[in-house]
Amino acid sequence: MSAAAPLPSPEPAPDPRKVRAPSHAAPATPEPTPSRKHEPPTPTGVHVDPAPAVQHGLPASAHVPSDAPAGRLVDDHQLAEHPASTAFDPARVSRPMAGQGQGRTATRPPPTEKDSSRMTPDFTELAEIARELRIDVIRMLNLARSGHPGGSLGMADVFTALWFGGHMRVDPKNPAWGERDRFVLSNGHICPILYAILAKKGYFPRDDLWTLRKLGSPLQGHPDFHHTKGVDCCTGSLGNGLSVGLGMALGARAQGKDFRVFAGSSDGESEEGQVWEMATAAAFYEVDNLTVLIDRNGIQIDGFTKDVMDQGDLGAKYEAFGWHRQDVDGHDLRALHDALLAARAVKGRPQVIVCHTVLGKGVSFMENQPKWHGQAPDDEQCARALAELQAAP
Amino acid sequence: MPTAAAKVATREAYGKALAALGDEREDIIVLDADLSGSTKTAVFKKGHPDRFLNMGVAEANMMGVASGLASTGLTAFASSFAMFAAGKAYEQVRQEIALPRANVKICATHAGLTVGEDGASHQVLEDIALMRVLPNMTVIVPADATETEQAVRAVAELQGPAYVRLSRMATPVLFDPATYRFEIGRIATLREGSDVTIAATGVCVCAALEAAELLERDGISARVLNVACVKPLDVETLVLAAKETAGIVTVEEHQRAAGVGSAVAECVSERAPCPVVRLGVDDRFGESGDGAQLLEHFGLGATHIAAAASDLVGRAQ
Repeated sequence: MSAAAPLPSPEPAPDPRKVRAPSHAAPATPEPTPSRKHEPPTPTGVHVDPAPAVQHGLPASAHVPSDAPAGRLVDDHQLAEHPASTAFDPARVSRPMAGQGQGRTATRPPPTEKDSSRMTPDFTELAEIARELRIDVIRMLNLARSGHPGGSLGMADVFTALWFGGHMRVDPKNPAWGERDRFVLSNGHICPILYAILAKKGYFPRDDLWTLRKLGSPLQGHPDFHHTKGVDCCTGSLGNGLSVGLGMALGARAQGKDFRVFAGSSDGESEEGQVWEMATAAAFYEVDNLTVLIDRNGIQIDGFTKDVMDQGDLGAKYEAFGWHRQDVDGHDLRALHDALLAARAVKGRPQVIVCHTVLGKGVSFMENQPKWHGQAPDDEQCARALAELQAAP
Repeated sequence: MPTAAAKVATREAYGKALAALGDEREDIIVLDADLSGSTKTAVFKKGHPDRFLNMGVAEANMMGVASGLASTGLTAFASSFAMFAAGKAYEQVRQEIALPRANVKICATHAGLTVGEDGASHQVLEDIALMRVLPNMTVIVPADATETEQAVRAVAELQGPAYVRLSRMATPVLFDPATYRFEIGRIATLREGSDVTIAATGVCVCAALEAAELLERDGISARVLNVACVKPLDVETLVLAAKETAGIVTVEEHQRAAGVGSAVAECVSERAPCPVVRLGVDDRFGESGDGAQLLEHFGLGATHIAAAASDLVGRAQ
């Protein structure tokens, strides 16, 4: 939607009788033989090259071609085209001896000629997408009458950069594609933003969004892949999802696959002890195809984290656990894009990107207000929020 | 019969079966939480070091990682002591294994009283209850080494989550691998009988067979059922026992509440009501001691079982 386009007229409340029954195959079954047929419609270069060292620890050769042209958004299909062995390679599973960590995991094949220059996303277009997603989030939650707007709005820019900036190798027409990059929303309560993204990517009809949290809806109150195409992990209970993401990343290594795992988390979730079990193990196994994106908005249900359970410097904690760490303005799309590139270039270590965000970003009366962590806007609030989002530059 | 047989702990049989399975299938990946020497996953590790992940003393993370591994197409076996696998990591098992129907096999050793000397903190008496209430979860308690080996293969073939409860204590090998067949969803009738039924689980099956012999001397014909598959439960065999005998005595090294006895009672009460006497630990924790002595101490020995069965027959007459 362009900035000038009018808001779509509000859809009527869904007819519960017409809510689609969940019909998606559960990916708990073995994944189908990966298709090699994901030919990009326009084979522009999309291979993700090593990025500039944002913090430290990057290979000296890491760089982004300075002449990379600005251009259209990278299509996910374009990331899909490269060979990947599916043969089980036991040597990839276990922890290496000291000093053997570099390049031990399955690495992406070297860029082909056409991949040699990565397209830079159009950040104006990304900003427009983020605005659309925020509008969808507000409307979904208003219709649902319950849910979590604060983090959903706050992470809209981060996830836009990830999903629409060319970093996720997925095929919405084949959600169970074995070579896809995985996305685990460990702070599952902000799933409205994920659902808005998945609808926009074409995993399911946008009209499904208006059935959120209703009986028979494919969109559950917390992510559940039995119900929702494009969801890779059942989450909702904080602390659990990141471990599953680590397992997925290890599974890629064990089978010689080169997919990456991106996981959303939050400062509140970081109070769960299991997060640090995960952090320890991921570093120990030198998992470098796992990137955790933390929503650091300083707010949890009961109030500000500094008052409820002070988190201190989350990035420093991860760093102490052996992770590659970046701190980024969670509303700066260019910085987020660069951080994602930098994370991808890291070898031998998992990466955390602490995204400093504003809860409720984009809706003035929600911004930085703990009460909007988990409260849906009523009709009047919804109208005000939509007006603001529509008018935003 | 039991008394003369060689003794092998089911955890030993598990380690051996898992290693053999690893030889045959490349999709098998094994996780442990710093107890591989005790759970016997170390046997697998020895043959397949590259498909073994020690997750350290972090059971919650281990269950999530196992789920993630399974989601990529692997068959994951996750082992720890039953106390920690079912107890400490219960929420992770529910959220990340049962709910997503992850292809994870939780093989939990050192279950029940027969952990022995380690005492109450390590003697989980609640795990069958915890696991059998989880949707999608298959729950298996093998009675001996032969059955363990077959059960490990059965859960490896199964698509979805399973909990296999194993023991530390060496117990008699009851079944001949050439003739015995474990099946998920089936209760094996180990001994025919018409007066009363003894439905036993795990290490208690041996005592149940001994009890049947004691009862025979008293002229009581006891049917002995091996409830190795607690879930899904073999309704047909239980209903038959309920209809054809005076009642059912259940035996397990587990709380009386919500365990196998409860599962049997739930089953027959709705289909063919009959007296069900549940032998188990009665709403208390265990204590240190020799495993075999503990079973006697908590009223799970052959004489206790025979007395309960005899009493049940007496009530019916």
